[in-house]
Amino acid sequence: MVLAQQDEVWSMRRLVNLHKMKRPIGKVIVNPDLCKDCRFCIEFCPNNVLEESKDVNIKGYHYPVVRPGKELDCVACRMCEKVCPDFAITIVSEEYTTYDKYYGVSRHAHGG
Amino acid sequence: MSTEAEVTTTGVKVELPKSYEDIKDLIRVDRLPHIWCPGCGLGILLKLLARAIKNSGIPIEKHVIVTGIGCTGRLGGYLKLDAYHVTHGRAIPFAVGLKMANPELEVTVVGGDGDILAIGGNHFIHAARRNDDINVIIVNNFIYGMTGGQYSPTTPKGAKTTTSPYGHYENPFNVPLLAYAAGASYVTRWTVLHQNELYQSLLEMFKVKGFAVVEVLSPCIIYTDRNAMGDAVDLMRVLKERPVIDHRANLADLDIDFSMKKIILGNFVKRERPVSYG
Repeated sequence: MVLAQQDEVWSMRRLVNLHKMKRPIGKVIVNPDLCKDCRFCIEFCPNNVLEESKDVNIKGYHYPVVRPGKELDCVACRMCEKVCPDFAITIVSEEYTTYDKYYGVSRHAHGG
Repeated sequence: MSTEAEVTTTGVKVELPKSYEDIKDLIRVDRLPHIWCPGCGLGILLKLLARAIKNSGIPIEKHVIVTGIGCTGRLGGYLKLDAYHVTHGRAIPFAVGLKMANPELEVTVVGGDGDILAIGGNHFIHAARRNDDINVIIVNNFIYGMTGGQYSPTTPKGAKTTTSPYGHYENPFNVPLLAYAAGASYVTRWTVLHQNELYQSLLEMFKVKGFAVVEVLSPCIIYTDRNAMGDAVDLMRVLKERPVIDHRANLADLDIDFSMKKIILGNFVKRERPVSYG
């Protein structure tokens, strides 16, 4: 009962300036020839953006690529860049998206 | 300089990405990709050490890296610094000699657990006793990785290695307690995943007057292979989930056993003791 009430409260609450709030979109750049397929970036990505490629590099390792359909999910937290031991992966974040545009207005405005 | 693609010794065209622009003059790009196994934590330590050296406030000409034998011994070769690669276990006496000859230098020893604690164990405790003004980074991967997986002084009891195929039956070193008891001025332990904390303690290590010990826990696929623990990623996941950060932990509780249920990290010791050399 209490939970239901809280849900109602949360559905009514909405940030007034949500349409103005931005978050960065990260662009994953991989240098395939440096990658050694340790899978650290795939494991530690909080948004599960990366996956192993089907191709191999010149040494026969599968390098990370962006999962299809998850191109806009990278939030440029740079965790993959930090855990990569091989200088192979980097994140460039020059674009921004607003929350309304990405998640849809209804999800935030009416509590999902 | 290294913004253009450089052709490496392996024939790969390598260009350091934009995010490494701050350390591009410290990394030998022509040597990449480095020789360490997939899943080794040493590449992460290389990045952090280069960043720490760059931002330490001490001129790069004053920095010296001394490494012994082992996988970790290759670390000096990827840095554009005065780096010395010396005989097995003798990195610390070499570094002490450098510091005695020229006290202005900032000498850092990077070594593995076997290099520093087994073969150079005597030098380690006596440099700590004298409190020589050098920095020691011990990369602890619980095994002799390069030579094929023999047990090292930090291999936990019960671990299977090439030289202990039915389970190791000796007790391992408790490295922070050993360093503290021998007299080190600064003792910390972090993993390669706790990068912000490790970076801060590397910066602190350069400032400390006295013997500074930073123990870095690193995954090793040789260790995980011998013990059927999966891949290096699985050990890295353990290092992500299990550790507890406790700066005031009792140093006697810092043992790491084979199950790795209790890993305590933190900046344990910082004290001032009279310095012998440097």
